[in-house]
Amino acid sequence: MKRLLLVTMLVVLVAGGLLFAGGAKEKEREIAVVPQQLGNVVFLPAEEGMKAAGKDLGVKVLWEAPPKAEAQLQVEVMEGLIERGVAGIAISCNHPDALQGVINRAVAAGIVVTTFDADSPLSDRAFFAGTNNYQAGYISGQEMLRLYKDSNKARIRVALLEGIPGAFDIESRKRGFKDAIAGSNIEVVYEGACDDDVDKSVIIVEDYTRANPNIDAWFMAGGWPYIVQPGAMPEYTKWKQADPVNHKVVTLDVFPSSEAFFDLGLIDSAIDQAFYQMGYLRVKNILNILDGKPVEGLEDIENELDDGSIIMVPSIDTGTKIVLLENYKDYFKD
Amino acid sequence: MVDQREQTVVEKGSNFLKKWGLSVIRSNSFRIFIVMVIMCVAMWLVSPPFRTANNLLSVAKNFSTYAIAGIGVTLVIITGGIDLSIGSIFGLTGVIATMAFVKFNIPAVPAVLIGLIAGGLLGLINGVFIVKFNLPPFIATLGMLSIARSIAYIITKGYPVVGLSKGILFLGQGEILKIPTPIWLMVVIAIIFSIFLNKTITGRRIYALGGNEEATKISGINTDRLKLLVYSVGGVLYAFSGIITASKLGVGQPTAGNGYELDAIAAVVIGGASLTGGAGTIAGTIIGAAIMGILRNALVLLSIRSHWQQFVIGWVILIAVILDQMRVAKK
Amino acid sequence: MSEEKKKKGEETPFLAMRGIYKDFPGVRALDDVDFSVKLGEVMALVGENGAGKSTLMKILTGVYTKDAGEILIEGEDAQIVDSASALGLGISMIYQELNLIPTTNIAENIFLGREIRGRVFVDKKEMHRQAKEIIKMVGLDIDTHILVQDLSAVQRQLIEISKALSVNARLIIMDEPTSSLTETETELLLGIIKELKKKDVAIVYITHRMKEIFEIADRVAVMRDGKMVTILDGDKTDTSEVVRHMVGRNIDTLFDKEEAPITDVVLEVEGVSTKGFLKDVSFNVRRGEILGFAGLVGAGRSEVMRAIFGIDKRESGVIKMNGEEITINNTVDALNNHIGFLPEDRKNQALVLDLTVRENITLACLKALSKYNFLDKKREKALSEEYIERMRIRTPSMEQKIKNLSGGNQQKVAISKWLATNSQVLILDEPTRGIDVGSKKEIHTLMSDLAKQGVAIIMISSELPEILGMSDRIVVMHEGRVKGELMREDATQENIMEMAIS
Repeated sequence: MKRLLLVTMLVVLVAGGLLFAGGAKEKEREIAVVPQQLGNVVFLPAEEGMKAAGKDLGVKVLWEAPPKAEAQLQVEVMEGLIERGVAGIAISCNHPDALQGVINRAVAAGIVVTTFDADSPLSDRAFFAGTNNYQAGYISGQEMLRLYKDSNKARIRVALLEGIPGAFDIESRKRGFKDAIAGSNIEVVYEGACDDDVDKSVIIVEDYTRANPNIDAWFMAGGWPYIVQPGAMPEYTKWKQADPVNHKVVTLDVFPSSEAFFDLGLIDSAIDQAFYQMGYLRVKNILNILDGKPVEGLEDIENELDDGSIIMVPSIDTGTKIVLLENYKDYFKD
Repeated sequence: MVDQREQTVVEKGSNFLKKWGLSVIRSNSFRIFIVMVIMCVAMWLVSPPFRTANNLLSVAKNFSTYAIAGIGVTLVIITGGIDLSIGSIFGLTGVIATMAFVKFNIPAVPAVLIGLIAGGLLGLINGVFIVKFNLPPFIATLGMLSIARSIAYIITKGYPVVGLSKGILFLGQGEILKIPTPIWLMVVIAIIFSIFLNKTITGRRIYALGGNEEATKISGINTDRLKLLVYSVGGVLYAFSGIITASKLGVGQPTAGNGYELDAIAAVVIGGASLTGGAGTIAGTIIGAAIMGILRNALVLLSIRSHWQQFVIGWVILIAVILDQMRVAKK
Repeated sequence: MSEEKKKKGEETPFLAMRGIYKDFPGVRALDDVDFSVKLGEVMALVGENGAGKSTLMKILTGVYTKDAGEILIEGEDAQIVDSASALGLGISMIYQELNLIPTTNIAENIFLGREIRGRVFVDKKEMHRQAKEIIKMVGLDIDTHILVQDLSAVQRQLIEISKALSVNARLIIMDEPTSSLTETETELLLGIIKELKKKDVAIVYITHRMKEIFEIADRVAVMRDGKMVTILDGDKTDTSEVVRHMVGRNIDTLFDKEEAPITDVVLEVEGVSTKGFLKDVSFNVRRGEILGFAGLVGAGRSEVMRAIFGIDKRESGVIKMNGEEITINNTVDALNNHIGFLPEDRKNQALVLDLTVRENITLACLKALSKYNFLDKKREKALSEEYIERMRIRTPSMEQKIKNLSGGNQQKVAISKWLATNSQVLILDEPTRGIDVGSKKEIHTLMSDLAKQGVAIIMISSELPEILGMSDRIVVMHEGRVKGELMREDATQENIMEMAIS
């Protein structure tokens, strides 16, 4: 009896697999988009954009996300795509160097590869699109400076929230932020890590704010806390509303749920890296390359590498949108 | 003439207290209870913000979900099994309950029940693979870990479930007598399961199963049924924990609970349970969860860099288990 | 070897053990034992279970140390302190559970622990070449790359022997070597042993099989109750003489079942067989009766009970309680039908070491002590008190963890557990093994009391006096079959033994 069940399951699985595989025999062009990880809310707009582009431009699109934000897993996904023979790939690299080799192999195999959001500058990819994380962090730092430019406090103390300590993208954002505020009266006094877990991010923000009600500002290097409802963060709410002039918050990443926080005046400035656009334009631009058409908005932009050297990188700046407390309603209209 | 068998109320009372006191002190959980008290005292002295009622209630609220999931896996661990799918069931059932509430407009209580039943079924499936197909619990629950998580992604398409309102938010954000609901829920569940383990024959049989499966079987006890029971009940409790958390945050996420199993199992192990089975208490699990909660709170209040977080937690687990081994070896 | 030594060799045996004593807590295992073996001779060593054969051999192979006496190898005093020193003196033992690793090949097994090395790595080529030569000594001409698990039983035996020979064993002890062999394989093995004799190897052959003894043994050493009773000449003796020496003791009136009314048949077992072992076992037992099961270890007695009780799977067989056929597929069924079973391996099968005395005593009757799943702690405590007293279990309190009790007391707790189940049919596998004499009597009295109350008792025992004293009827088993049944009046130690051995 047991054996019969097992054999039946196996047959069903194999048959299902064959059916699906059989379906993919038609050799239409496929464009794959590879984000950093599955389930990260930040990339969802990109998936939307990709699907919309696929529909509008009539091309098959694939969303191939590794289960965890690990470079090795992304490499494996890429290798799978090379085997599959897709026409184009747009990837947000978990790490610039780790993905370089497999990107070059894809290009050598005749696949058009572009990067978005997180680049691999030394690889053979066609171009990079998006604002890189360092830039985004830098802009956040500039926002923080702007928010406090009329303040006469000697020292502005900022608490910083990050995800997994050492994760490449967040580290870049942090570096950008710190570089922007370097030399000013703003300094980071605390760095808490939430391991990419929303629940933990709320606990950290709440606990720290409760214990340090006199902290001046929060910089969220990632938007985890704003996925929840404001009601889940009473201490944070109390702190922000107690002194709107001197208590400021800058965050990276904007979600639909961020609107509720804006409504209560709980965010001053949120930097959105236009993921929807990134998703949509990726597909469009790759298609253009495949069809021999020109790519819009492509230009060489100066890019500073980790070791300080500067190279010219063909990029499309999708720009960052800064959503402010003053004008957020326009942003959320769509 | 005094009837010597008559004891005054005072004497009876003090005898009872003496006995109870001794049993508490001799119990397995006493040692880590002392550890927890020491941690609290230390934090009390070192960090003023720790002392506020607000902070303490918040710490308790936050570790109560870990405790509830921990209670679920305590039963499993007592039987000598393990459950790696805790986090995935936590996430999937949170999503199921919130989706039922938001997308299908099912009222709060039935929505929560649906989530709990889903948790029970997922746990039952674990049990079936372990009992009928003889898979080692590690493997069976490892499979469920991936399967449940992927179902969560599939039904939500990756998007968080938003739009939770009044009815269901009470579970995680409400208060009864100024004490957050999750804490009440943890206490009630702890009492129920403590009674279950100590006073029912099923509870006794669970300990026996973990201590010596063969001897228990030969004593005419249906060990297969017991196993199915603990994995199913575990599933219900993980679900409860996940639904409370979704309610607490006001959003159901498919990624919720990633890695939760490690925290839950750590709480049980710190609480004195043995991974080979046959030992473990509800009180121990709660204290273990509390210790980890206080630790996390301490790291934030003392502004300790996040890199050190994992370092400290790792050492706490090791030391707790070593202390427990020493106690056992002494006997 | 010089002429002198050669001559000496003919007079001086290779091995001479003199005046060996060995005590264990509470029992004298070896009592002034003399034992000698010559090169080129096969010495059979026989005796009942517990007679002292394995203890003696364990002293010889360095597993135990003797308390008194001397061991001479080739006339010289030998210090055997551990297994290495025994091997160094040329003494090798082949155990019943062979010491081979099934998942590795022949050569690797032979050279286990002393692999032939090249400069850095194991020299596999050389190892296999030498292995091939070695197994030729036992008449094997097979590929040494074959894994042990793919060999037949006799081939494995031969590998073990060749392994011993390869380390220059002069004396090889074989413990029940033919217990898992077929007729033909046994013949093959005996043939190899005869070859070994010619090569001047001394062999100690422990067995219960009379036929084999008379085929190859030069001498027969009979042990009983820790003493070396006699050494017989292989050519000049016969089965009944050997048996008589094995068994000849005064039947103790220590064990005597009290009179109890024996009424109707409560349990009938017909045609029970299990895969590859039990064949067509049938018997029945009545209320008030004590049915004794006799036979050698491995005869299948425990296996029958495990099959009836639902622990092992039966291939065939019908079980009837009070005339009606019942289904027993697992232990829960058995208990629901009021059958109880005390297994022989108390530690692993009857006790949960992490639990307390009280919890163990009540483990099989929890339902009776509960209401709506809630345990009545008061009744539980009362029950535990009762059995601690009746069985004279020595423990500071009922809350003591069982693992802290002595072995004998652990046994008593295990028995109490089953007595507390109020079974109609109670199967006891070696109920008094490991228990002091006073408590043995106590348990026997309890068994008699139960019988008087109408309980049917099946008692497996390897102690013949106990079988004879306590049983109303005796079933004798041999190699998976029921060999015969005897009524109490007709049974003697000799005729039981004969049925058990032949």
